[in-house]
Amino acid sequence: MRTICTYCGVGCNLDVTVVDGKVKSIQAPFDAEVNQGHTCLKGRYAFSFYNHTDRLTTPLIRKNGKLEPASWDEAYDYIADKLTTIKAKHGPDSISGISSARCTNEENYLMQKFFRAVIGTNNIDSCARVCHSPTAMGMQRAFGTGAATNSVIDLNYTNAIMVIGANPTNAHPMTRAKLKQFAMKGKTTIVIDPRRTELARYATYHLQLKPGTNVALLNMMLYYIASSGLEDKKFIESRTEGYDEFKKQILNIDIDQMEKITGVDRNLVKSAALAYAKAPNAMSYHGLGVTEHSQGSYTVMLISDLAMITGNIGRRGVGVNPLRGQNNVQGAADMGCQPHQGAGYLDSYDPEINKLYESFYGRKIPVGKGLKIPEMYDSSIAGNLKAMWLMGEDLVQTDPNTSVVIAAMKNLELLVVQEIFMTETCHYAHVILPAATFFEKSGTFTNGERRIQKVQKVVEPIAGTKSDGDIMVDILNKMGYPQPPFEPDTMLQEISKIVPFFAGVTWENLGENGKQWPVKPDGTDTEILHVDTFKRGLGKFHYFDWKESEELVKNGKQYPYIITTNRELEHYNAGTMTRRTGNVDILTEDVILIHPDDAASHFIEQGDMVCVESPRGKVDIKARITDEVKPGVLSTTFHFPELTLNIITSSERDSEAMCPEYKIVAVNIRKSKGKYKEKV
Amino acid sequence: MGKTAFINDQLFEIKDGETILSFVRRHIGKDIVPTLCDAPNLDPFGACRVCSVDVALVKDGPAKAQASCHTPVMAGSFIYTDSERIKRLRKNIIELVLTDHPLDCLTCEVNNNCELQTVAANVGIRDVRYPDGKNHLDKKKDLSHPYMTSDFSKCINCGRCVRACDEVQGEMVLSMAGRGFDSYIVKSYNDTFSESDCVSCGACAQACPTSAISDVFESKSVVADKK
Repeated sequence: MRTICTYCGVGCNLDVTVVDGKVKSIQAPFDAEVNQGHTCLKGRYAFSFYNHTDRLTTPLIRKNGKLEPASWDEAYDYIADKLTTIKAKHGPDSISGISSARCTNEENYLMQKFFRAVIGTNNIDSCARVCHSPTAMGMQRAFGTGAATNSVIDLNYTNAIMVIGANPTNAHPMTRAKLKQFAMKGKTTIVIDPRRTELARYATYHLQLKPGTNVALLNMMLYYIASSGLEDKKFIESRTEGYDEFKKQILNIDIDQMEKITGVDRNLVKSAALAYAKAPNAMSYHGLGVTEHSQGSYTVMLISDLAMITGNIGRRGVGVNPLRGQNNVQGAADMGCQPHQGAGYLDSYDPEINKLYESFYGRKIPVGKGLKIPEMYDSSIAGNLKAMWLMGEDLVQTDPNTSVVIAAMKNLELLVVQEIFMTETCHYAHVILPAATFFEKSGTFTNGERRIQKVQKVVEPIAGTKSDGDIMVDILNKMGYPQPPFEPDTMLQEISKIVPFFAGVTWENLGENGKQWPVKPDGTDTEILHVDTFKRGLGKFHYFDWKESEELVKNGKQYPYIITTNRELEHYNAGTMTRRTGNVDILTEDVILIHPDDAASHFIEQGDMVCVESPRGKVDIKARITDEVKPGVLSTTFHFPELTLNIITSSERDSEAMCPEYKIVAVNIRKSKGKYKEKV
Repeated sequence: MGKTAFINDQLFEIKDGETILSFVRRHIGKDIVPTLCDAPNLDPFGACRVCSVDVALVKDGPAKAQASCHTPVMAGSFIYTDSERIKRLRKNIIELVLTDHPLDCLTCEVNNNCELQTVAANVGIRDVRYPDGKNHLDKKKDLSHPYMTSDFSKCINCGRCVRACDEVQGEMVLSMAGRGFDSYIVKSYNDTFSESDCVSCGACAQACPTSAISDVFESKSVVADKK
């Protein structure tokens, strides 16, 4: 049976073998356009979590402070009752939901429908908020569409690649395999990253900037292109607006200062910028190292500037391509799981659009503001938000500044969690609904290149669990909204009627390799966006001054080190799934990367425990001494709950999209005995 | 019609840069020419020679055996896919391979789903005429890794794993060491899978035509292959 991997935004196709109703093994189909017969160890081997004994198999309701098994009916009654009371007492905006970018389009669609049409609030967000919301925001402002402009296949047609703030070696292994082959052939590869990542070692240029200086570095690149006459004047003239004003500002930047701020030699920046500008076709890839900063959205717009100033948009081998983190983070936003836009990115502030939604859903739909995830915490702590519903989101382990998150969870009157395992967040839940894994359900995921692909049920849900889609249908009906039973084809039919770029999508015509949106009513899909004209008409240039992160302004003196968070190949985010597979035997713990000079000045040796302290709290992590990072910069992962790394991360956010600033945390370090030393 | 060549005296059009193997497969069928070291996601290599065909410059003229997987088609040439001497050549190659292969098919994890087994059947192997000689049958299994396994007594030195590690994954953990009869596959510095720099992507296991490299889920067993 063919299905789609759930581990990252690449969207690899998997051939799953089922023997006696159980997954036996997984191979990669050679005819898959996305992954051509290849996957990484997560896709191919890390599947045994799905029937792990830790799976939640019965609904749980908190009674007298303890989570106790209950029937589905009891759980639904409890939830419906509570939600109705809370809504009556405090209004619909006292309730919020977070959908899951790990779940299918259909499930995300249903969840936002439930919140908008039944609860009557725009308080619906998804974990796109904490990863690529600045990409969506930035690219929408620059181009009109917040999605990758090109496809994986464009790698075969490009002459130069820029990878900024992304380490595909660990996070997007199939894209990395292709990028590495590209770099190894000696083709122009520019890597912008505070760490000397694997790709950086093979790159033509590695601009190893100080964390938090993306804007300064991109401004330098844009300055060198604008001042050396390498702009694509024809493209700028015919396809864009705002260039004259932009050029005035960019030529005004203080290169001396920028060089000092970024810590990257200006000649190296110039060479890289000119290489990018001179390449006949150049494409860029970016990851969370761009977005998870206070200037995240600005950085995305500058990357878009770079593409437009060099005319690298709208044909084969070019474009701006976010490496989406979760398998369906594109889809979660497409389906309207964000407060400011409903299904299909239609503006929830626009009364005209609202009428459309109202006639489609047959209910009154709220106009205007809804809470974004960080605002939900604030609102809960302030006592305004009373209930939260999470579809497979482990906020406590993965969201920044754990103590704030926990305080927000504790303050709720109702916390409903749909989960496959008992996560850290589940400990604060009032109701837990046992959900099914991606092997156990059908639907669609949309990958990083806008490819809508079929997820097919390969095994039946283990006893006691229900798919998130079934749960949403149940609760919609329970609370008085007649929603037909969940079937992938009819669900897709409903979605295709409201999401404009899904117009021609049907379950049947998706075939083996899916379709890339926008899909026209006749079923033709789109590999490349913005070919003749941008979605917004003309592409728009934006200029931004670099600004030091507030985290460093406030705490930089007292906490002189910067720690930046990242991923390892073997584990996926909170590790809820991968820690329950053989991967845990390959990579057993989180470590902190520390430069030999910094280690020496704190008498830290390889494998010592290091106490990392930020203004929020402290954690102990095992040291790995390496010159992969520069002095003053530390780097670590948060795959293991024992570490609870997010105790130290801050509540700083992107100024536009409110994406948390995971990549910059001001800390101090010292050698420690280590809470977990006995384990080591 | 552009450039053309003959397959078994029938005329067909050539695509630019095409190998004899892809030319034959495109026009006559996928299973006409047996292969071992060839794989759909790897560059042509020409190690095993099982894909040899006869190529002549004139109809029924003097022919030369050429490995079809990595030889470009020559316009106007006459390709014979199964002349008697080519059939003998293929059979002999496989017989020689089998002199250094444990003949434990019935208990092997890839029994009935093994490329070597299939090719051996296709070229008509009944028994191996050669006497027992020096071999690699005493190679130890590597079961050190949570996922990857190897049993190099079953290796036929086709190099598919090495090329998958290089061309597909770009990890270059696997390579071929030694010369001639002493050639063997190494992981990093002759390590086990778990000591090596292997990232367990499984590309080598999927590429291996036998069970010399596989995984703990026995992904290539015949039950597993029923998708």
